[in-house]
Amino acid sequence: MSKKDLGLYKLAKYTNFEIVLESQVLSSGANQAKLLEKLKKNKGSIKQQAIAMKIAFAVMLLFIVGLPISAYNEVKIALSNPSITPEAILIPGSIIFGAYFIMQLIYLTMLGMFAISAMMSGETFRWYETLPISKEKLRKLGFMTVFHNMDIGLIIMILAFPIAMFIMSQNIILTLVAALISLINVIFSFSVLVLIAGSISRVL
Amino acid sequence: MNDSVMISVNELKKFFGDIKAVDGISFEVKKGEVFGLLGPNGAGKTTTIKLLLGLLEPNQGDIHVMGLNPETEEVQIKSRIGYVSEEPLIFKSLTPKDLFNFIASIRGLDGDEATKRAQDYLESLGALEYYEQLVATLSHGNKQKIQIISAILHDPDLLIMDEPLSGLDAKSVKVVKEIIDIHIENGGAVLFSTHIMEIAEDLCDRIAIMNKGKLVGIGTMDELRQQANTLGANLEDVFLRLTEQDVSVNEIVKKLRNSFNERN
Repeated sequence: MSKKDLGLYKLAKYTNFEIVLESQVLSSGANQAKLLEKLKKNKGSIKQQAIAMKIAFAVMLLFIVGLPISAYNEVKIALSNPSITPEAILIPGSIIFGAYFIMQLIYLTMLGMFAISAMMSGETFRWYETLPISKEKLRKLGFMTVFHNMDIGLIIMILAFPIAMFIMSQNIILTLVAALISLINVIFSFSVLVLIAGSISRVL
Repeated sequence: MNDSVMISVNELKKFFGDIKAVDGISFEVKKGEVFGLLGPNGAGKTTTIKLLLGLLEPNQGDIHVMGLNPETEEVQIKSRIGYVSEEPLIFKSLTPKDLFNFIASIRGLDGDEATKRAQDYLESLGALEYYEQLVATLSHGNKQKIQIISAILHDPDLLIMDEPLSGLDAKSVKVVKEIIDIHIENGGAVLFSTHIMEIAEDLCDRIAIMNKGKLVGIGTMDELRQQANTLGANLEDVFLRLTEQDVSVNEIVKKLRNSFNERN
């Protein structure tokens, strides 16, 4: 045991485990006894599933990077063809890039709802409320739990686009622009998720 | 405020819309006493406890817990109290070992000492074998034991216990009563909410009886008997009289017996 103050991110780890357990118990329906037996045999299964879920979210968010990559490719090919007008390149390219950012927002919201729906009852936080943690910190903890639940996915979201652009273009400026756009988009998407969560969850 | 007063509640009111959950109650809990809070379902006991913990804000009245205000100094209060609820609130995705590690970290306890103490308590409650099993897989009684240990691990000044003995076997009840006694001998105080009259009569030095958000009786057993005009009666009779349920209970019992006799 260590004598140290637990930070919000560390506290969120425990809430995240509770969320995974709660969602499993709820989804097991009449098979709760089987689930408990499984947990008895493998006490690390909650931690494993929490990590597996993060990776699954990250993979799902990684797939949509295929959209801007294909758009960039199309634009590159089209540019080498003099018979194609600039409008014919710009309009579909913009649509595909726009679709990518909208899809990021939709995916993040959908995946984030998993954590938020489990937090909605506030059950996970009831014990925290009785421990020496301030109300302000508890409110932040709700937000941090959503973040903890998706941290790998968010990192993928930020990094995948600029890395893909760098591999494709080998252009530093284009990569930096892509990184900036990606960061702004992730902050915007996460803020939308927190706003939605705040209006439906008593914890946030 | 007197140093010996651990909880001071004065004209406390808490309303949920039109429902008067707590309606102008006043009481004090002193050091070295077990104070019982009794009342039928919906009497306002749990709301009172939530107000003491700072989980709810009162509409009116004053609360002081160890001289501190739960609305503004809830962290200091929670660091000096141990709370046991009727339903185990502890994290169920952890093993007791991880849970006690977590509590030691959050309460700033010495790690080795907390581990030793937790294991001693587990052994005395007959739950040491579950030390490395997930809490979710334990029975209600065993979860409750873990919750009780979680509440006393930091040696709190004040214990707030809401139906703590529910689901415990006879041996564990005896051990928990002993833990409460030791806590009191060491100058602590206990606020104890229960439905079980025998336990309240056995454990509590003073008892407050709540009904419909109000305090209808407060004092020692003898004082309560006097208030209820039931000299020599047990707590159950006093409780039913003070909560005005004695007549209705007698009618229900009479009806039940008549119905049974008619069938046979």
